[in-house]
Amino acid sequence: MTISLRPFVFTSGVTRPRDDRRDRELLAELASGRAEALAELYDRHAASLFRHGLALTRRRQDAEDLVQSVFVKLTATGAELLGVRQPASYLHRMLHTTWMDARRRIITGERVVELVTVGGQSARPAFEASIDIARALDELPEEQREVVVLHIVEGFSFREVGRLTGVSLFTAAGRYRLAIGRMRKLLGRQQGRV
Amino acid sequence: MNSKETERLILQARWPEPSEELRARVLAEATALPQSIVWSDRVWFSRAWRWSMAAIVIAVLAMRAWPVSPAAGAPDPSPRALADARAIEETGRDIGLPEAFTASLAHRALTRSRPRAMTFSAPTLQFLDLEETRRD
Repeated sequence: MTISLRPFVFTSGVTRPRDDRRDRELLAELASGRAEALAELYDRHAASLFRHGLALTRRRQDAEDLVQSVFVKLTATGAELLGVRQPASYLHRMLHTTWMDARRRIITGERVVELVTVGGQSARPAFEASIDIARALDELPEEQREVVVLHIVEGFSFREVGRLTGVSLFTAAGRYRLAIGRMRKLLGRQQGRV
Repeated sequence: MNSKETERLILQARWPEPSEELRARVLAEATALPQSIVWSDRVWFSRAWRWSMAAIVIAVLAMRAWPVSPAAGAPDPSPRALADARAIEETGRDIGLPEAFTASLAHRALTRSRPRAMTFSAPTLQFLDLEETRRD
C-alpha cells in the first residue's frame, strides 16, 4: 500500500542552492569601508531584490526605492555584517522589513500591472502571456505573491522564505500552495477565454 | 493547467531589471564610510569564538559540579559511627591516652563505615593487642 505524502512535502523542486561565500567576503569588506564591495554586492543582488520589491509593491518606482533603502541601510550597518551567515536571506529580510515599515506610509491605491514579461518560445504572443501572468499575480494577496516570487523566481526554500518573512515554514508552504492553486485557476480561466 | 505547469510558466517569465539610474543612485547615496573594525568586533561576530566561549562556560560549570576529591563526595557518617567515635574519645580520655592518638582513633571510627581499606600502623596494632590482653 502506498501512502501519498504529497500534502506534507514542502519543496516543489524550484529551490536552488546558492554560494554565500563570496557574499560574506563582500559584506566583511563593506563593513571595513571598502566602497568597491558595495558595487559588487549591488551587481550580485539588485535584480533579485528588485523582483522581490516588485512583488511587494507592484510599482517599479517603489521597488527601486526599496532596493535603494536596503543598500543605504547596508552601508550603515557596520560591524554587524561580519556575523551574517546567509547574505542573500539577510538582504531579502532587510527588504521585507523595510517594506513593512514603509507600507504604513505609502498609499498604494492604484493597481498597476507592470510585473512581468514572458520570454522564450511561447505559442501565444508574449504580450498576452505576460498580461496573463501579471494579472494572475496581481490578483494574489501580497504575502502569497511574495512567497511565489521568493520561492519560484529566487529559489529560496520554504524554510528560508519563512525566516525572512517572519512566519513558520508551514505558513510559507501553505501560502505558496494557496497561491499556486489560485494562479492555476486564474491562468486556466484566462487561457480558456482566448 | 496543473501546478507544475504554473510553476514553469512563472519561472520562464522574464522579469524587468532595475534601471541603470538606480545603480548610479545607490552607489552615489549609499557611500560606504571608512569604518574601523576593531579586533573585538571581529572576535565578537566570529561564530568560532562564540562556540568556543560556550564550550568553555559549559566546561567550567561541569568542573564545578564535579566533586573535588572522592572524600568530598562521600556521605556523612552515620549516627552509629558518631556514637562510636564519641565513645572512643571518652575511653581514651579515661585511660589517659594522648589526645592526638585518641582523636586519630575517633577519626578512624568515623571513616570505618566508608568502603575503604583501613590500615593500622605497627605501634597502633601493638597498642590494641596490649589493650586486649589487659582486658582478658
